[in-house]
Amino acid sequence: MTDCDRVRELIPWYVNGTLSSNEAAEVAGHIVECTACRDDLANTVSMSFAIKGAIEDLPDVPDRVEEAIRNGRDEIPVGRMDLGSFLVGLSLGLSITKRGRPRVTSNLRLLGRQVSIYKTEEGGD
Amino acid sequence: MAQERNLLARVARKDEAAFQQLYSEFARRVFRYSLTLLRNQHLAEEVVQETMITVWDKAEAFEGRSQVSTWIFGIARNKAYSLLRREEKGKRMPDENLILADPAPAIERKEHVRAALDQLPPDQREIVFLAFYENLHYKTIAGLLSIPEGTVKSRMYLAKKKLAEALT
Repeated sequence: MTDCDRVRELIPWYVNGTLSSNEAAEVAGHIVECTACRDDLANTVSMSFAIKGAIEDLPDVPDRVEEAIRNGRDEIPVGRMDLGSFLVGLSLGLSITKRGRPRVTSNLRLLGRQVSIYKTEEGGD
Repeated sequence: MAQERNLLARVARKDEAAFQQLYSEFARRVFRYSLTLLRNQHLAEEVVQETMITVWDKAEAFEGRSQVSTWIFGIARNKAYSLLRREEKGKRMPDENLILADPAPAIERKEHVRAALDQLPPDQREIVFLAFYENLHYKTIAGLLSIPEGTVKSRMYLAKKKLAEALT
């Protein structure tokens, strides 16, 4: 493996700032003298920013997830039944909350997309 | 790091406030990781939900051999791949258009980048996410994915090459 090959393998981690000081010094020392690796570093920096920006722009976690976690932490599953095929499927679930309340959920799946059709709501204490 | 460990120790003692803090710190990161892996918003929500419930249930099992974030991403990864296996049987397709948060004109460029990312094989997409978004060292990524360090580097090399082609 040439110096360039080794340095180019390390460049993504030079860019994210996680290399050990020895590795980082090796990369820094090499790019001062090597135009091709310097170009690769510049491209990787630009790519890293672009990727970060694109991921930052993904949607945020919907509030319903936190609510579902709150309910899920409180539940002990009793049973679940799935029926259906590739085109259509039905699942029925029964669980008991730690407060002793039964909880029923039912979901319909059409062409692989899940549609919630029934769920007992948690009441207040 | 010590703060996250302390938080997880409190979660192990079923401290609700600590769990809330841990959720605030990790839910969005796990969601974005899952979206990058699965490209399906509903599945990514499921991964966050199942991951955080597992964190609540199993916090006492954390042995401190890795960072808390690596432990949580490891749980999320297992959940994501197990959902993926389940979904492959039902042939659910990735979302064609995820709704993006930013309506600014720069969105076109971001969409272009995201499309380039989406075109990568999942194993390369995952490395790119963990290196460029989560800023993880290649050794940490190798540990998280249970693959040799050389494989992490070669996947990154291939991913960079494809991304450069797609983005020029």
